[in-house]
This record gives sequence, structure tokens and C-alpha cells, in this order.
Amino acid sequence: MLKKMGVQLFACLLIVSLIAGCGSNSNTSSSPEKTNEASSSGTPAESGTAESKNDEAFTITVSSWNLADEPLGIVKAYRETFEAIYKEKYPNAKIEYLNTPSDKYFDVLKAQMASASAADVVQLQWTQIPLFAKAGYLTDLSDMPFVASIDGSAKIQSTYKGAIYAAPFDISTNGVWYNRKLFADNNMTPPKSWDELLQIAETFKTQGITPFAGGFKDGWVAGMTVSVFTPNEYGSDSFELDVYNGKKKVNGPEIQAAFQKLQLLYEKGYFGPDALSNGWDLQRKLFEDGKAAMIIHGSYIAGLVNSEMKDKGGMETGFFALPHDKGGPVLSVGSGVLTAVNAKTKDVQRAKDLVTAMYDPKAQIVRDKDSGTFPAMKGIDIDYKEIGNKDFLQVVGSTKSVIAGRYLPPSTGDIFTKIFTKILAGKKFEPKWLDEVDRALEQDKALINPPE
Amino acid sequence: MQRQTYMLLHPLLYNLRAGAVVHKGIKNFLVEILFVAPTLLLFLIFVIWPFIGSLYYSMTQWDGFSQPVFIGFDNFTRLFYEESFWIALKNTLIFALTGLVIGNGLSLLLALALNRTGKMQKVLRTIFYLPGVVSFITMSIVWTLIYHYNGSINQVLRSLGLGSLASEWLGNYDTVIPALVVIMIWGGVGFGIIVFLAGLNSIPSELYEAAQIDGAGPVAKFKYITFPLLMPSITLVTFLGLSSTLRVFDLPFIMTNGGPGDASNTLAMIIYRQAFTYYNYGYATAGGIVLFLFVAIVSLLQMRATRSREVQV
Repeated sequence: MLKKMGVQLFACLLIVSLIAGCGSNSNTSSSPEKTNEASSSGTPAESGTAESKNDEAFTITVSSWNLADEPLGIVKAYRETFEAIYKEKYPNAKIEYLNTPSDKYFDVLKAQMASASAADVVQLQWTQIPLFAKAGYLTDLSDMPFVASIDGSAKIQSTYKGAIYAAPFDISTNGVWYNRKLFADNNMTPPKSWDELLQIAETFKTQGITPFAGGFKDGWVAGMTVSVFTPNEYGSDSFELDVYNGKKKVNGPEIQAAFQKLQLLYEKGYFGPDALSNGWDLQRKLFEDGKAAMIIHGSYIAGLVNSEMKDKGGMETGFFALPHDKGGPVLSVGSGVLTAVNAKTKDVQRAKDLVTAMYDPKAQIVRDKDSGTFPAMKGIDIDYKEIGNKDFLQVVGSTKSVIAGRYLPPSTGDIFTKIFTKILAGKKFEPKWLDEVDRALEQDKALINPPE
Repeated sequence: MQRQTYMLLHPLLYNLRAGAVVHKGIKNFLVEILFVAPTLLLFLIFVIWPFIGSLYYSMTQWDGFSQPVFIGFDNFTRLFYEESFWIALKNTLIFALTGLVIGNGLSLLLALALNRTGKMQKVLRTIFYLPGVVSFITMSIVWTLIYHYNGSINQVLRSLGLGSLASEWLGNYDTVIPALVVIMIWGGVGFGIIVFLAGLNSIPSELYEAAQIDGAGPVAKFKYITFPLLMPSITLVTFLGLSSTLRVFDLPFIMTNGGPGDASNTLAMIIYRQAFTYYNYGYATAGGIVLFLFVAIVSLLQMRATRSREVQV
């Protein structure tokens, strides 16, 4: 009997403590919301609450694929700069970085977003914005001050259904980087036409220098290379829209022409014999060692190559847009890194303030100057050290550009990559290979954000 | 005796049939259920329920975030219509069959060779098992260097005056699969050796002595004693090997990304790519269902074939 009573008493105690526990949890979880409301109003008593809230010790998380330390210490210096700016407002804040290498980051981010376990501030690529915004995973940042400073392609890429969901960090495009010394030694200037480019390539080949460094073991390098050739052929932003609406075909003459050019470069041996054996690291090394005269890549090349060749006195690079045989070149321009706020974050204001600190011009200059990154925000003028970066800015400013990938599902880009590696493995390009892209487009159309 | 066995194995039925008080039988049943319940519950939540969910998602168009749209069997139709699916299926089968025939054959041969006492045998066993404990990333870096256009294989060929045979081993349609199979066998042969050695050690030496007296030669001993008594080990190694090679993903993913083209693509890679690169979770799940059925059927057939040949001493 006594035993029974004891058990009943214990059970009662357990229930009471559980209820009490729930009560205290509920209070704790609601407190930040209440403080938030206080900070948004302006009465003196409430502003006092906001100040005391700013002094609170808290941890805020940032997930990214490019905020980890690198050998040059540029990212570390950038982090330290924006951390100092953030701590002016939140002196006791602790910023925790959840870094994942790029090849895994986007898969991890998707899983974290879907399971409501993502960081407070997340860095992402623009193709993910419609998906995440549509699912309600991102906070609308349209009221933030940076919005007035972005325009052009970066603004389009940050927008979903008229609202801004991310801050674009950079403006990037891919084109042809060249070794200035090798060009000067051969009295060459950047080619103005496709034929001139072929002549330059042939000259280097006869000298035993690979015209274009190949690093296509890495799928992203192969895919990026294709993306440099396709805009020249379709020429305008309306192409993807026409394809989406069924007025043009993704396996039509435009894309066929791009692959025929890649086929030609392969057949002439301009990518070198080891193009599929090399990854991105060895591709860069070929260029740095002067074994390859040109390398097709993005804005990062000049800064990266020079920093890697610091001990050898660096390398003077130059940049030009891939010339076209029927008119001027067209670049695919866009932002490669964007920063958003997780809609499930406990304190939206703190997260927004961190984004503001990360995009402070002082911090951005630290990050961009030596790495050759070009800010997407207006009003940040950087005097780049590398001559190649100056070239790059001039080319981007004077060349026609498009935003590629808005109305084509990701599967199409991957099949383009597959076709290119098939060519590199010695198979002769057949237009019917593109039928797979056409089928993927039809089947996966529902997975992309329709034109507004 | 029979009655006792029956009573031990079927307490609930026994109690009921023997006219025991019914509630005693129910009590026993409840006790049994209570013991199984935690595992059963976890199994239902983490295996059965997701599997049922997968059946539904395989019939939807779903980006993993928005509401799935029911499209019936379209994903399956599309899967079987795609040329890349059939190439991946062919590649998967090649990996499985070469792993089965060459990998297991080599493991068995090496196990027979190492089934002796001696210092050298111990050293060799360790050497053969080492690739199995090397991290896959390390292994892939080393093999990438070996297969590189300027790697050790081509350097040897060039030094022998056979430079014309130098190739991008992982970037060539004819060589990419054999090159990957070599890595797969190299990495997996050690496990097979260990299992076969354990099997060989369990065969009583008296059988060999008796066979020796009867004048049996090494081939006859292997055919009539070693092989039949090693069948349980063969069943195990074959089952584990087949079920893992049919799902092969990491090796081609890291070494070639399925390329060049689709040359080294596998079913598991198609599923991964559809889900995580294309956001096509519905289609990826359909691929997962097909792969599951494929692995299940092949494994069942294999178990049936090898188990029927097992003998006990």
C-alpha cells in the first residue's frame, strides 16, 4: 500500500515538474519576440530595453562555403573586420561559422533548410533563392538599406516575386584570362574575333604551349566552360524565355553551334592532352607555370594566381570576353555569392544587422581588393592591384551581358557538362545528344520559377 | 520430447490448445510483444513508414520543398525511357559482376595461398587487408595520381617506349570502367580474404587426412571438401559484395563524377544527382524504388543459388 502511494506521489511530482518546465520554456521562448517588439518602438523605456538587449551575450550562426580560412588570410581579415563592426552594436555577440566545402555545402544547406536547422545567416547561390523563398525559408530583406545600392543582374537574382531575399556579394562573369608575358612575347593582343582567337591558339600550340588550360575532371569547371560559349550563340536574355515558352528549342542551332566550337577546340588539341585528368588545381598550375597561355574562368583568377605565385613575383594577367564569329561577345553576368537570413532565426534583427556588417564597405574592401572580387553594391570603389582585374572591370563594363540559367532547370546545365566531357573523351559531337536536354527541360519545367 | 519442443517454441498456441486458462496465453503473448515492441516501433518509424512515404513520393513531381504534385507512374516511365538509365544499369551490373567473379575469385585464391602458418603469411594478410582500412578520400587521391595522364602508369609506358599506349585512363570510354573496377577490387579483396580464411580454418583437418588416405589430390580435395564447406563464407561474401556494388556510388562519384559523358554513371549516382543537383526528389525516389527492387531481386536469387549448395559437417 505504502509502495503504491509512493509511486503515485512520485508520478504527481513528475507531472508537476513537467508542467513547470513547460511553463518556463514558454516564457523563455517568448521573451525575444517581446524584446523585438520593444526594440522596434521608440519610447525611452523601450529603447532602454533594446540597449540592454544589445548587451546580451548570444551566439549567431553563419553558414557558408567561402568564409573559411584560406592560406592568404584574406577571408580571416574580412571576418575580423565585419565582426568588429557587428560588435559595435552587439559587444557580447559570438559569431559561429558553419563552413562546409562548396561541393557539399549546397546539399547540406538544402537539408538544413528543410529540417529547420539552418544557420541564422546563410550564404547561397541565386538559383536557390526562388526555391527557398517559395517555401518560406528566407526572410524578406526588402526594407534593408543595402537594397538601394544594388541594381542590374544582381538585383534580378536577389528578387523573388518582387521582394529582395538576399544581399548579393559580388558580380562575376567567366571569360578568357591570359598570360600577358606570353602574349607580349608573341606580339599578340586580345583577339577581337573568333578567327583571331584560333590563330593565337595555333601559334601557342606550335610552340608546345597548351592554348587553354584544361581542368575538366571537376564537373563545375566543365560546366562553367560551356556556359562561356553558349551566351555568344544565343545572344540575348530572351532566348531562355523563348525556350521556356516553346518558341525556341534548347537543342536548336544556337546551342549546337556552341558545342561545335568546343568540338573544334578539342579536335585541334587546344585543351591539351590531359584536360580530363586535371582538376581545377592542376589547371591553374598549368597556367601559372606558363605551360598554358589562357584559362577560361571567372573574376577570381587574377587575385588567386598572383597570390599563389607570390614567391615567384606574381604574374601579369589579362582578361577578354570569348570572341564570337557573328558579332560581339556576350557575357553571362551574375552574382556568385549571396547572403540571406533564415526565416526561422530566433532574432531576425540581429541576423539582419550581421548582414549589414558583412556588407559594410570597409569590410568588403578588405575581402575584395586582394582576391579580385567585384562588389555587387554600388558606391564601393576599389583600386585593384592586379592589372588583370582592371581589364576585367573594363570588359564587364563594356560588353553586352545576359543572366543565364533563369528559365532552364539545373538538369539542363548538368547534361551540357556531360556532353562536353563526352567530346573531351573523343566522341564526335552529334546534335541529337542535345535531345536529352530538351527532354529534361520539358520534364523539369515545373521545378523552376516561372517568368513573372 | 516433441511436445516439450512445441511448448518451448509456441507457448501461446500450446496454452490455448492445451486448454490452459486463456488469459495466461494472452499474458504470454503480451509479454512477447512487450519485448519486441521497442525495436518494432523503431523499425516501423524509421524503415517501414519512410518506405511507404517513398512509394508515394515516387509518383510525384516534387522539388523537396513545395507541395508534391501527383503524376502517377510518369517518373518510372521517364526512367525507363532515358538512355542514361540503361547505361547506368549496365555499368552497375558490370561493377557487380566483376566484383563477384574477379573480386571473390581473387579473394578465394589469395585466402587459399595464405591459409598456412608462418611469418610471411601474417605479413601478407596484413598487406592485403590494408587497402580496406585506408580512407576512401586518400585512396582516390592516390589512384587519381596513378591514372593521371602524366601519372605513374603512363610514365612506365613511356619509359618502356610504349608512349602511344599512354591514355587518360579515367577520361576514356574504353578504360574508365576497367580502371574503376581495379580500384574496387583492390579495396575490397582484403575483406574477402579474411572471411574466407575464417571459413577455411573452420574446416576439420580430419577430412583432409581421410581424403589423403583415400588418395585424393589437391584438386579433388578442393572440389569435394574445401569448396562445399566454404559455401557459407561464399554466400556471405557474395551477398555483402553484391548488395554494396549494386549500390556503388562513392567510387565513380569521387573519381569521375560518372563521366566522361555517362561512361561511368551508376544507378545510385542518377538518384543522387536527380535529388541533390536537380531538386527532382520525386524522380530520384522513383529511381530509389527501382534500385531497391533490383538489389532485392538479385540478392534473393544469389542467396538461393549459394545457400542451396551449402553443406554442414
